[in-house]
Amino acid sequence: MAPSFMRRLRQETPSWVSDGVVTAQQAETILARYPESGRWFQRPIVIFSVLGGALVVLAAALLVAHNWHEIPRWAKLAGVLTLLLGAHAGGLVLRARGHGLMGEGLFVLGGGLFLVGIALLGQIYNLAGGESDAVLLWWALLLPAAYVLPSIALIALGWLGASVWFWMFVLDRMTWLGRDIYSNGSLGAVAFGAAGVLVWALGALHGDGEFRRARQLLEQLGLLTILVAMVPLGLLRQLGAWWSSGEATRWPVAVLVLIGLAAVAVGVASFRLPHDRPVVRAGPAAALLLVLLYLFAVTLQLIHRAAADVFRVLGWTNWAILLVVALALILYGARWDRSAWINWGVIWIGVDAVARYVELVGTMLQASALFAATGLFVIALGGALELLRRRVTARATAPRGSA
Amino acid sequence: MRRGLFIAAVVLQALVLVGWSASLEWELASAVRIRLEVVQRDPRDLLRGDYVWLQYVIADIPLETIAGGRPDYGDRVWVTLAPQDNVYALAAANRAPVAPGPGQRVIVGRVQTLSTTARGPEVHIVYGIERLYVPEGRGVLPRGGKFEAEIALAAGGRPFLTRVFVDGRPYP
Repeated sequence: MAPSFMRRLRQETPSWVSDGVVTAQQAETILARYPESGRWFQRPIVIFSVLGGALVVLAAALLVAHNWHEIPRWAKLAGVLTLLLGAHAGGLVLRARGHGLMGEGLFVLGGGLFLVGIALLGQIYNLAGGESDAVLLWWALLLPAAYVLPSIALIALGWLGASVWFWMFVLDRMTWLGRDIYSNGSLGAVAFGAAGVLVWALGALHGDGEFRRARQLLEQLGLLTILVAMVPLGLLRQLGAWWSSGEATRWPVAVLVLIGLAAVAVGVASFRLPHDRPVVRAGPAAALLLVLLYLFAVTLQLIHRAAADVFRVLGWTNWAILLVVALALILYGARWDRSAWINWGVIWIGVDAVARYVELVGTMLQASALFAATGLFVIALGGALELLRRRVTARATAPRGSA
Repeated sequence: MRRGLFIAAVVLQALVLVGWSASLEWELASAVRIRLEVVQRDPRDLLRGDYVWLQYVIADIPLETIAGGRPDYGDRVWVTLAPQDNVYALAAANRAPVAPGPGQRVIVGRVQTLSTTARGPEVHIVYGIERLYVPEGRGVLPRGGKFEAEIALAAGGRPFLTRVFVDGRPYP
């Protein structure tokens, strides 16, 4: 059951009783129907299971890393495979017996042991280089197992692996994406921004069903990544030639493909957002398409080594887009009861304000005007959200037939 | 249904590990053994343990030696090796597959860096054999010795590091 639903239920039932909608006894019966179990990750058994599983994985990894030359290769591999299959079998048994949360710990152990198995083969055969390929193999085979089960801990582990893989892939100049980024460091921020939008869209595709938690995880990971990428891009002009110059001006095909992929994903994801009027529903996707359009424009200007004035305009565009997306996150978060979106919207506005302070540190009058305008805007936004909340509450408590 | 799919997915993971290992064994079994001269070494990988870092004499290749134009990062390079004083040394390099001459071997690597040294523009090639994993605490080679690596070369030019020799004796 969604924690927000239970929280809302506990907030609303006293007014139902006072308005005569239900009796006090009926309110108690309704509340008893949805016992407060706390958030799943606050349950001690989950924390201990996942932590225990992670520690056993680390123990197995270090045991393998000790490198027992006396043990035959096949015996080492067989040992890791036995542990891997045993962990998953144990997880299934525990889940079948109703100990689902303890089972999650064993699934995490099994998922980690698969990575240990891949590392073991690298050790046995002295395979150097291509570390990102090894991590790709890990998460690409881990996620299907995680989704068919389904196991939220294993899904989180798989996406963690995918995130680590993307970092490794970008930082390796021998990969098709890393090669583009080594030709111009600023493209790294563009790639991360596009990847952030892609991750958000992948999260939205999970919908509100049984993969709701995966959606929440990926949406937040995506929003964090976009923010981390957008802030330095807004300061390109301030960072100067070191940041914006590159050794080559060839087309960064891999980065452009990533931006295109993210655009398609956002388009598809918009159909998985909560039901609403089509125009309203298209809002979040339109805001994120603006981000992608901006990333595309930055890429073009980096290729053409545009003048400082162009980067100044792009800096102001960056500021405006951050504000628009933050506003969209807050308004849609309030409309669709997604508190994480509201939190991220507020964080975006705060980070944007600090970034603009850094940008305008030389002209205090401009900074003062900007902060005053932003501050008044945020206060007005808070007032608008409060009005919206009161209206929704009034509509919910109004007697039937009066509307 | 879902339980069955999950079991299938996990079995697939196990099969990938076994299949990968079997394919590596098969390539190793059919590979020829050569020796390459080593010039550097060294530390520790958290997942795979201590290793000796090896840099090969054939890793740094003058740009003009590479036939077929200037390569880019990550591009594959086919390096032809010829026997010279008990080891194999660089004979030629090409951006496309080549047939080796009598007694020669071809090893495939990828461009890691392009740089300009005192000897002129050079390309640094990595072959995927730069690490020798050793038991814990054995990751530092004795100083001052002559280092050679035994390489198993598969038919397509893919190398596998099998052993390292210090002054002619296997290490560790």
